[in-house]
Amino acid sequence: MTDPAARSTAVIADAVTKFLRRYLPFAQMEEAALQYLAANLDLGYYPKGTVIIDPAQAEPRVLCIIQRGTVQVVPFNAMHGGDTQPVSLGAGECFSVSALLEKRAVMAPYTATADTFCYELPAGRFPELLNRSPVFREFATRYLTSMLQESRRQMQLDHASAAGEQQAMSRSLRSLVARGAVTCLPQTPVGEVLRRMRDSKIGSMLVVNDGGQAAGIFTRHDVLDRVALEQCNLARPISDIMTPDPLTLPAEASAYDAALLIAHRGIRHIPVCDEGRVIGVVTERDLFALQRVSVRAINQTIADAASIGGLQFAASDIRRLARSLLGQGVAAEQLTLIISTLNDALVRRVLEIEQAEFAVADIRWCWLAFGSEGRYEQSISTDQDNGLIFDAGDADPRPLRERLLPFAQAVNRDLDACGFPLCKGNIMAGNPQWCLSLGEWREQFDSWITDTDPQALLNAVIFFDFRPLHGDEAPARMLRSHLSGLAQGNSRFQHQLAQYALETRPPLGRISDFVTDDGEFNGTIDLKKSGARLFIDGARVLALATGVLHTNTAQRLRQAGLRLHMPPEEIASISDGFFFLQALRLRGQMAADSAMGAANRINPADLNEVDRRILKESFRQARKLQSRIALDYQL
Amino acid sequence: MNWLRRLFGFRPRLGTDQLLALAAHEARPAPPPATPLATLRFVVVDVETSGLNPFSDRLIAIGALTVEDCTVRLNSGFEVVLCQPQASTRANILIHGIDGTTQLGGLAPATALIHFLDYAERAPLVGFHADFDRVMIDRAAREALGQTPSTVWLDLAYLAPAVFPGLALQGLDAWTQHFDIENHARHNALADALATAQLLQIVLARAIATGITTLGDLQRIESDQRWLSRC
Repeated sequence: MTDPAARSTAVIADAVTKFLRRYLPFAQMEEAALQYLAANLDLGYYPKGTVIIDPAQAEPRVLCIIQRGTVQVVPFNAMHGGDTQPVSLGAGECFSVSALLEKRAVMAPYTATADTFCYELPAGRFPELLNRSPVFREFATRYLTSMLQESRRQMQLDHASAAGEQQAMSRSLRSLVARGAVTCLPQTPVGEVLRRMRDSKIGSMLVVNDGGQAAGIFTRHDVLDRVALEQCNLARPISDIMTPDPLTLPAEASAYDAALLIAHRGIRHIPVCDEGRVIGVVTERDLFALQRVSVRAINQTIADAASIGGLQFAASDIRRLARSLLGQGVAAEQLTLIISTLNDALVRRVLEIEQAEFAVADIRWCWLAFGSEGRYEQSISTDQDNGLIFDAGDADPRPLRERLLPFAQAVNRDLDACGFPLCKGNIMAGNPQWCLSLGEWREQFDSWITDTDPQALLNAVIFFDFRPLHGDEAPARMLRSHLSGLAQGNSRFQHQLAQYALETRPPLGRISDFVTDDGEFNGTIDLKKSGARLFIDGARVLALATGVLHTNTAQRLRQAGLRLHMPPEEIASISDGFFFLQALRLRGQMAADSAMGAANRINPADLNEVDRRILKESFRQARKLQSRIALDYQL
Repeated sequence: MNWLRRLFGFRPRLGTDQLLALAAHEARPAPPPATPLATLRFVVVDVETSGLNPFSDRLIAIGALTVEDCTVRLNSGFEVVLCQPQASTRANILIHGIDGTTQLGGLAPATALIHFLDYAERAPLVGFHADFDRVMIDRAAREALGQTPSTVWLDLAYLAPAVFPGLALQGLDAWTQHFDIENHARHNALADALATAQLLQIVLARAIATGITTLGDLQRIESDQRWLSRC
């Protein structure tokens, strides 16, 4: 009563609090946190049809809680004609939690579909709310998880490629014709037009009048009919033989519109106009180039490639696709799977091409992938890790090896040319040491498993994640089952492998959140060595102990976890941790293409609050996996 | 005695601080007519009085709320109770709920009004039937401060029908009901101000959408509507 201001704000804050208490998660929120929220809200009004939050904004300025009205959002995937239903939000629902958490723009516009009042928490207060309310934090992160799951569910392999294609096709024509058009006036002589078309290497000449409007178009196609066969006088003005009044599209039209027009009218060139003036020409080829970067198209390019040159294009397309998919927020699991699948196709095609050059068809051989490729976890920049296995029966393997080696070496060189650098440790099929018969591979693994030498163990670890990639898979399968039985029956080896998996501890600090490195990489964490590898090594131990044959880390965790009766949520959160680290690595590789060493490094201070929190949680999951192994093996 | 004071232009004695505060208020720049509505700060005002006679009833409390960037700043609520020489009638207390003790324990009118002016700065003051709020505040200011503050007033009772010409609605309750605006506590100065502020938001959004984008535009359609309603 003595402080008039306090008395007055209370009336409104009480009303707001009362409102919030009617809805989850606010109903369960801690009293003090709820009061903090209520005391920091504004009230915004959006008439029907207003876009409240737009993907064009860097990140939402506010957290909106709908007080009255309805807001609609079309889930990301459906934006370009998918079949996802728009989601309607009503009183008490809030948006966009995930965009605020991740400090990014929303994926799709939030539009008021009725006159709407929204309580609004300024984005700057959002972290403090998370801080003050464990209940809200739980809600927000669960929200994030459910969003991640949703995006994973929707972005299955085929969807992901379609989404990439569709997004490209929704680009405006303005962005496609940035080059500017080569034009001429209607009175320009035909001969000069032809010369200019040849000199600028263009397929069409746009004829514009003084005002810059499209008067006509003349394409290379027309040369045959209208110039050569008609024996047209090259001094005549181009206006005599051009196609007058061509169909045009506005700059705001999409690539999709242009593709439709091209398909319907059977034309190859469309002038693009901005306020009546021609700004460029979009061609069938431009559109084709857009569509090219999709999983299906890359597969086709690979299948059609007759030479290594063709495959080099496909390899760079794979990288472009990976970039674009990562940019669209495709989950790391899908992304690494897509990359691995396409790389597999590429390696197979290289093998097919080289097979024609070398007479090895009579030998039962199989190309093996090791390491990340063997685990289906390839990221963007990976060097080669491969080998050959062949069936020599009871005969001497050496003559067969002599025939296979030149072939394998050629393949290694080709892969290098396609952007998969040669392995520094020389773990490649072209190395006689790793081009072995089934019998030799068996002996090799036997000695690694029975040997107590630490280097032997290291070898076993690298080779353990092998999988057959191309050729006759029978010898590879036999090797796998031999190995599985051997390792499962050898507790000393398992013990050693477990010890190896626990050698590196997650970089979690007692005082500060993270333990970072010194020296050259001061302040950073190696996401591969002290991150992803903890999961990979741990999953390998579990797979080995339970006889799981799969090489993929997530699959190993899921299948082995099931056999070990681990709760499904626990398995899921361990995999989530692994994939978050993989996603961070991918992001880093995109950013620092050149510096391989730096690509796997991250400075936790550079991350946003939520990513930092998830990173910490991911390391905790690694620690959980490690302590499980430590318990099982009494380490 | 009030009428005598008014009649003879009695100038109240103010402290130096109060005189300085008043001078400071008058010295603040008022928003020019070209100020865009989208970002202008408005102060929505609602007064509680001892009755409905603008000439004889007393100002008991001022409630105010800021609308800025077309957004209600919910935590900007301002309310001040003016010290009354005697409590208002029981029937009146039942309307606004400001009891006798609170009325007698309010701030000295000069102090209360200066608080209000400091809060409002030179933002346009907005009310529904704002003429009443304006007369009550101006009268109290003349008595307590010896002058009426220079302020732009905007009346939603004219602005709302001006931008929604199809709706023949009378009174704040009719408008808030039409737009489904909830009032948490009718006749609480601040709760009323909140309902009024929401009506202002709706009016502003409609005005901006129809090309009325500056303070000057808004003042013009308000005075046009006043003239219309007199016909």
